[in-house]
Amino acid sequence: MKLAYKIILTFLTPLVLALGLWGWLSYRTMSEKIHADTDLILRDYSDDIIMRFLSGKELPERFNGAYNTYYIESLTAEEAASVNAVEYGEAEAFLRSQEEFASSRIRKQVFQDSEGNFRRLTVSLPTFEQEVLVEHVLWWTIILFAVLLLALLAICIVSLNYNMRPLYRLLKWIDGYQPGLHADKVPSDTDIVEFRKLASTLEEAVTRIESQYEERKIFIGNASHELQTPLAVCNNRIEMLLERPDLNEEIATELIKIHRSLGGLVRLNKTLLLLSKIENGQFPQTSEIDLSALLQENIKLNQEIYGHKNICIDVESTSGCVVSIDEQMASILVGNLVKNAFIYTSQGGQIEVKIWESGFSISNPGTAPLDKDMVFRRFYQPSGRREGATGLGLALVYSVCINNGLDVNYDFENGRHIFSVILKNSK
Amino acid sequence: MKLLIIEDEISLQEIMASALKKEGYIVETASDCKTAEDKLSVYNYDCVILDITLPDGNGLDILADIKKSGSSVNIIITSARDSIDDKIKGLELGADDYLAKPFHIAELAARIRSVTRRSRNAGELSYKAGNVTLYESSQRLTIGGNEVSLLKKEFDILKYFLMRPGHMVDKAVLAEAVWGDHADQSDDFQYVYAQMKNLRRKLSEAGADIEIKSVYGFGYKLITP
Repeated sequence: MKLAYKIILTFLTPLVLALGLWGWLSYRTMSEKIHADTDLILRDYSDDIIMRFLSGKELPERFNGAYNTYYIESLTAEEAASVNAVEYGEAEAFLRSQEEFASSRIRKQVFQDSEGNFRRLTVSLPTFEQEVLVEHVLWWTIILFAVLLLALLAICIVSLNYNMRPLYRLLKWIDGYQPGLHADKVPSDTDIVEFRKLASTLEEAVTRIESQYEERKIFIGNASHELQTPLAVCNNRIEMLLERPDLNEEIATELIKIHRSLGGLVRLNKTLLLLSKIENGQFPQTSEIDLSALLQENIKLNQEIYGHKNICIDVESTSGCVVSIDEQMASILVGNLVKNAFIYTSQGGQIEVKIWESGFSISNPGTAPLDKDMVFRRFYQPSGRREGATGLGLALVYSVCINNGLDVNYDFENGRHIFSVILKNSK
Repeated sequence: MKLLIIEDEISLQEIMASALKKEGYIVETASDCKTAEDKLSVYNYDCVILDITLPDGNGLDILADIKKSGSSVNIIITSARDSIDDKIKGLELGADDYLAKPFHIAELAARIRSVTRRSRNAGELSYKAGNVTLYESSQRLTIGGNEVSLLKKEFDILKYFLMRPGHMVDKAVLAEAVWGDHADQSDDFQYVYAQMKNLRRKLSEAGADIEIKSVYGFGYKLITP
């Protein structure tokens, strides 16, 4: 979740609840006030009628054109005792002017006339006006609530985006940062203390990373120097021994064996250095490379080398597969996968290569699936160590892929090991 | 011919010196920048083999100094960092050739022969043995003065041998040098034999007086007259 959304959400949730409560309360208060007003009108009205009745004055017309009506009934003393003196209620009252019944508020009051007889006056006032009023109050409360909420939301978003700009600039800078590439300065043109602190911390971290990166690069250079020279000396001494005239075949065979093992060591050293170089992202010079051409080239080369295996190659290509990648990286990627397939295919087996626009796959026959989590690890060799193998081929492939925005997958289907490489952003 | 080897790794320096002395060169050595500069200012050399990483400075500075003094000495730089940057920088500064460590001494000897002969070949590096001359950058081959055309792999194999005349070459090493990393785990050398057969046939048909002989069943040797 983006920080802006999170802030807006945590800010607005209690606000919505508070505003809702406020709206509901004000609606309740308003509607209660309206009902209380109605009851007041009814009381005044009934007081007026009772006063007129008791003083013998002429009573108003029962249906005088206004909506309020009344009637007076006689009660026995027992009835009068069994009901409340004053009672409010809701009832359907007939409106003559409208020729229909309407829901009304009624007020009943028991009183005694001058002869001491009990009478009950019922006055009624239709409530539709009040209902309309209450409905209006409700609508306006809702509208007010919505407008207020939207306005708050808009202000919130605008002010957040405005104030977060330095943070977004920093994040964009981080996204674009690659160690070893001379990047722009960390953006710190803000007067907000926290963001300034963040920028300066980042600046320090970057300086540290850069110097460590530099040290690591120097270390790799030195390690390569330190290891390769003694290896070269050993190699050359063996070669000089091989030139000696007093050499016999037995010793020469042993020397050649040592020489070959040493060759393996040199290769291992070279591959490890290459691997750390890739992981350091030291191959940033990319160009558009058609992997399908590279695949064909590698297949041809391996067919020559592994010609004695009589391997059958089936290439299915629907289009070229163009990737933006360093040239050397591309040939490491393709070369290792193709070589792997050739090495692990037995006599007369079949290698299938599929190429499409956003990737390629290479498969070779196998007996049992490999461990998916282990297959790209360094020195993983499930079928025991092969003479001369570094056990780093697939680790190299994996490193190249993750450093170049490619996905590499291993699957085992229908008795075949399938390695596929897919462009991440165009699946 | 007089050579100066500037190399801080003593064991490597010793082996280079003894191998090159065997080839008939007069060899002097230096292990750091200071000694190297002293020797260069006093004596004249035909070829300098210069290591880039030295304990008290960068070999490229020595190279720049030599070129500034207007000397026409041939310079071959060696470096363990097989980085393209070093190579380009060195060649731009006027080095005649670049050799990445680890290298075979025999290859170094071939490069020395090649760069010192360069002035006679209109500036092109070439390798010569008997009546066979191979021109590296134009990918040409002449035998007894006649042009002979070779396929890419045959050319690469012959070049490998011409760089190591009289030295034993392991077929596994040859395979890796010519076919690249792809060949490092192959245990059947049919493809090497096939190319070798064609190359030998072409050499003898063109009347070459050099011969690539099989040795002990695991390698080859280029025999020169």
